[in-house]
Amino acid sequence: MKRSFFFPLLLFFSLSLAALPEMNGISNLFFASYSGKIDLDLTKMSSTMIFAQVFNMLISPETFEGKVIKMRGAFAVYAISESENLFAVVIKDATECCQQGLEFKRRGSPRFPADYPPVGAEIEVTGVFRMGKTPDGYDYFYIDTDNLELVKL
Amino acid sequence: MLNAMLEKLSLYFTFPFVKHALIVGILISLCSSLLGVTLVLKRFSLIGDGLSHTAFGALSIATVLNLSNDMYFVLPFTVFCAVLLLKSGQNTRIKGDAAIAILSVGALAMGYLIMNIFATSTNLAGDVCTTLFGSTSILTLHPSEVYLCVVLSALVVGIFIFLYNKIFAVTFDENFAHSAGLRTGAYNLLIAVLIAVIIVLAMNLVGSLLVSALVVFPSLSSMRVYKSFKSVVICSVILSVLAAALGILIAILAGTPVGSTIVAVNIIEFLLFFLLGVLSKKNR
Repeated sequence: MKRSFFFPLLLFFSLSLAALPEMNGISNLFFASYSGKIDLDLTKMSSTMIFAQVFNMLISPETFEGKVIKMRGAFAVYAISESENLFAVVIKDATECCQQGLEFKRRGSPRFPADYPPVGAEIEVTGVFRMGKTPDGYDYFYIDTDNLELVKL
Repeated sequence: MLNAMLEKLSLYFTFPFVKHALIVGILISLCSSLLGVTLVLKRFSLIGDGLSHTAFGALSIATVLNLSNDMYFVLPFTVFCAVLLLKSGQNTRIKGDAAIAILSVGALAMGYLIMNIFATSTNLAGDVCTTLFGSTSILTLHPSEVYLCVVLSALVVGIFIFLYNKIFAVTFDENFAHSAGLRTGAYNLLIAVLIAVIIVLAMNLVGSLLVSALVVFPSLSSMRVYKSFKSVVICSVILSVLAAALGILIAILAGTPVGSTIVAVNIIEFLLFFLLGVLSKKNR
């Protein structure tokens, strides 16, 4: 009797351990990598260059509109309202005191937090840089993507 | 490895902001080293520190006032403080280094206080950090700032070359220059204005706290080896420009903060020239 329980339990715990990331909502099933042409690959740059480049993208967004951008950084979530969140990839400068972030919007209708990595995890986002307008008429920029990869927890 | 570095550099040079940073960096280091020799010889090495902190205070006021280009406020304010320090420094109750210390610490504290009370940015710590240490500010210049820097640098270099003999006379023996009929007061005023302009420009390159390094290190390094004013100035310019260019390139390749990397290259140069100076003395 004991033996008949031991092996199924062992199998259950082993499978549970292997599936732990999925239980935290970080399954790679939700994330996909990009294989097309990338116009600006920020992952190949040093932290100083990435910080400066993102700053320049924010002050002259029209230069980058429609370009495919790949960037890596920390995943951040900002609550806009009770039902709406803003998702961003955040990059720190060399002294780690300043940070620049870019909003990204995933295609489809992913749910938060189930379909997103944990806040603070290192992610890689590849998508098209787009400009938009808020209801108040302010410009804002985001990466339109369905390619989100989890790099490190 | 060298190939990978060159490949990375050629990729980085396709970005206009990297070219701008290198141009501005070279120009600022050129100007700061030109007047650095005069400042070191006149024993005003720490004035750079005092003025850069004053400029930080002015910058915080400009930020709070939401000025479209803070340079229009920071530059005149710093020039005013430079004149106050250099002109009236000897005739007031609080003299020399004490006046610099008061202005320096006072402006720094007031600047940070103003920025905190009237914060306009959500990333206050970041704004203060980049202004003080210049981690990436040279790589985030607006084209109008680049043009302004080119014009002001050309002006500083032009004035220095045109008035070289007069600046030389005022630097070495002010009393003799005065008795020889030179308007030393006017030239001291001019030097103060030029220093303020350089300090405000140099804040973009290395940040407020590290500005003095740009003024002091190249001059002191070249003084270890060369003895005449002209050769010290020329060597100082070469060392300063080399340190700025190398510092920027290392910072963008290795991902280190630009300001402190430039200062680190300046320190290495100083140590090398210190050794050269010792060796050349022994060989004599």
